[in-house]
Amino acid sequence: MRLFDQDDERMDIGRWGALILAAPGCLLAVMSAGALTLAPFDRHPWWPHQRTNLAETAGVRDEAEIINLIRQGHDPNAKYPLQPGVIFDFPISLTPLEVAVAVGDALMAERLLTNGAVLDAAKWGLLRCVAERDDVSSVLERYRPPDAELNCDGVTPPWAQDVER
Amino acid sequence: MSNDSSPGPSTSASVVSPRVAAYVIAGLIALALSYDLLRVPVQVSDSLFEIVDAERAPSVWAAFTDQIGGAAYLRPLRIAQIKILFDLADGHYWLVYRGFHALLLTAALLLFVSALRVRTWADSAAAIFGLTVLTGLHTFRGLVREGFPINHFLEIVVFCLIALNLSRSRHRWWTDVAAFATVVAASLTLESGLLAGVIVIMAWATGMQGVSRRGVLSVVGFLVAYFVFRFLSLSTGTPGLDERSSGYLLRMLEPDELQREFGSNPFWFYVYNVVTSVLSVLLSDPDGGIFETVRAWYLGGIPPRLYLAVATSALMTSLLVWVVVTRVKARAFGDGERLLVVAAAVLGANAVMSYAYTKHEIISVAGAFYAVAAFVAAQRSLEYLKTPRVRGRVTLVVLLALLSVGWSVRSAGVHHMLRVQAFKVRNDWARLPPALLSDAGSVREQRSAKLVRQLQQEALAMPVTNAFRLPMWTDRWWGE
Repeated sequence: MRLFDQDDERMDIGRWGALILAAPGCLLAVMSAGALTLAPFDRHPWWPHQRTNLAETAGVRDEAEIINLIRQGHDPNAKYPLQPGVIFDFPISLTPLEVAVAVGDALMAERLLTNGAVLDAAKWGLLRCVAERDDVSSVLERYRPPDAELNCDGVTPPWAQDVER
Repeated sequence: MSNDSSPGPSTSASVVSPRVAAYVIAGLIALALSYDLLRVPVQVSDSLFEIVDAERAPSVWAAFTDQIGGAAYLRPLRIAQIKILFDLADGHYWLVYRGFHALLLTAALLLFVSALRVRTWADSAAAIFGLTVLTGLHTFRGLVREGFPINHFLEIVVFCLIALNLSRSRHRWWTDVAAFATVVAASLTLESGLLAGVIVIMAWATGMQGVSRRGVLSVVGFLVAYFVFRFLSLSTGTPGLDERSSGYLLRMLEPDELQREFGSNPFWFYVYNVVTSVLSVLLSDPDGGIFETVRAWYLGGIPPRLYLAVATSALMTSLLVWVVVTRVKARAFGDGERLLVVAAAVLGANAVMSYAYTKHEIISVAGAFYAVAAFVAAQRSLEYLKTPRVRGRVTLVVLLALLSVGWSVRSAGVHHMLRVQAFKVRNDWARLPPALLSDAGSVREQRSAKLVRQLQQEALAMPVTNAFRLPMWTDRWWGE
């Protein structure tokens, strides 16, 4: 009887050992199955896809989506409302180029300017003055309109009032 | 595997057999990773020009023969396969190239389980654990991260697992033929495909009987012919220091730096690459020749992913060493020990092949066989738990728990890596030089530009997750 009990205990430890060894892998597989079930409804938990407008996209370094949206007909020179939390903590409307300058993304500014964003002298002067990063300033210099002049006296970023508020 | 190892043996009353259970788990993991792969656009780097070349190649045979006679590599089947898939795609390039990647991945996981010969519930548990080691090891990331546009490193892993399965099967006339064909196909795809030959030979040497002595001799004959043809007939050499950048101690050295540092005497650099390749598989650090943990510490902070990688690998390798020592002491040499010997041989041979430069992908076959060894270690550990009058059983259970959780967390990280990769690849298409999309030039160039525009359009239309909007902790635990 005693020997039987020891055998039983060993068998239990063996079973527990096997269960412990396999459980995390099984859990991973079950979670995978659950996630795949949600995929046809565009709800895959590992692949969240939050749709953003052109200005919001410019603020989250998604160059591919910028080109995709412009090709779909979105205007790169229009102002778009930014949802609080995406770039700023407050609601505001900005153009994609203003957002790219605000977040200091030189590559994005370049992408916008090569895909339809237009700078007139006034807009250029404003953005050139508020650009804080050298690489963004360099991009803007390359797209400087012939009649543009640099005079930063009293210039504040379009988003500055909202920051102060 | 051994029938006496089962704490819960399979019975005829079971709804699902242990083997089926292991296959189901492997299938689910493969499906989830395949879904991720299909969310990644066809990539630009090391892929776009290969696709354009495939479009320009007049035939598969031409693509095959054009690759013979290169200065440092002999990989004629690589481009031929890209051409075959290109012709099959008939315009559906993403579907065919990414679909093939997913098929290869699924084949690799199923072949892995098949090679383990699961018979009992203990085997099944060890096999499921082995799957998490296979997919959690950093070398696996190289098998899914990129497609060139085919991930040939994954193909080599599949070829090597086919070779192992054939060696472990019951001998029939066709297993010799299949083993020979596998070694030939693997060797002509990438140099690391020669490992399929190493596996057939070592499996036979340890007593596996799927491939006969005649079959092994034919494989040896092919390997001899390969070397004679490559080095004497074609004068195709091996990669030199000027070929690629490579990790050394705490940073990546560019080819000109490598030549400056080691050009006069590269021997010790080659030794360094071999040793760090072995350590990379056994300890997950160094990675690609760079001691990542020391580097991260030097730069100001070690992220949790490095602690996790090094701790799980060190514990796993310690368990392996303990199993090997106890089996040697007991003078036990069974099926599992044969697998351990083959895995050790693959690790050694794969590391030697990495002498010129080191990276994840090259050592990925050794990574897959490390997972085979992990299966054996787990299986033997479960047997040990049943042994009468032994100490440390609770410690062993705790160790197995830590290992299984740790490796599963590492395995889950592959999903994160792939969604970040999808974002990067899609953005690469946005940065394409305008010249590649331009209709200027010859008719042939216009045809290529049209193909590039289609690929770009497909890539940009794919919805991906923005990597910059993911929680920071995901990158700290699963990033690169």
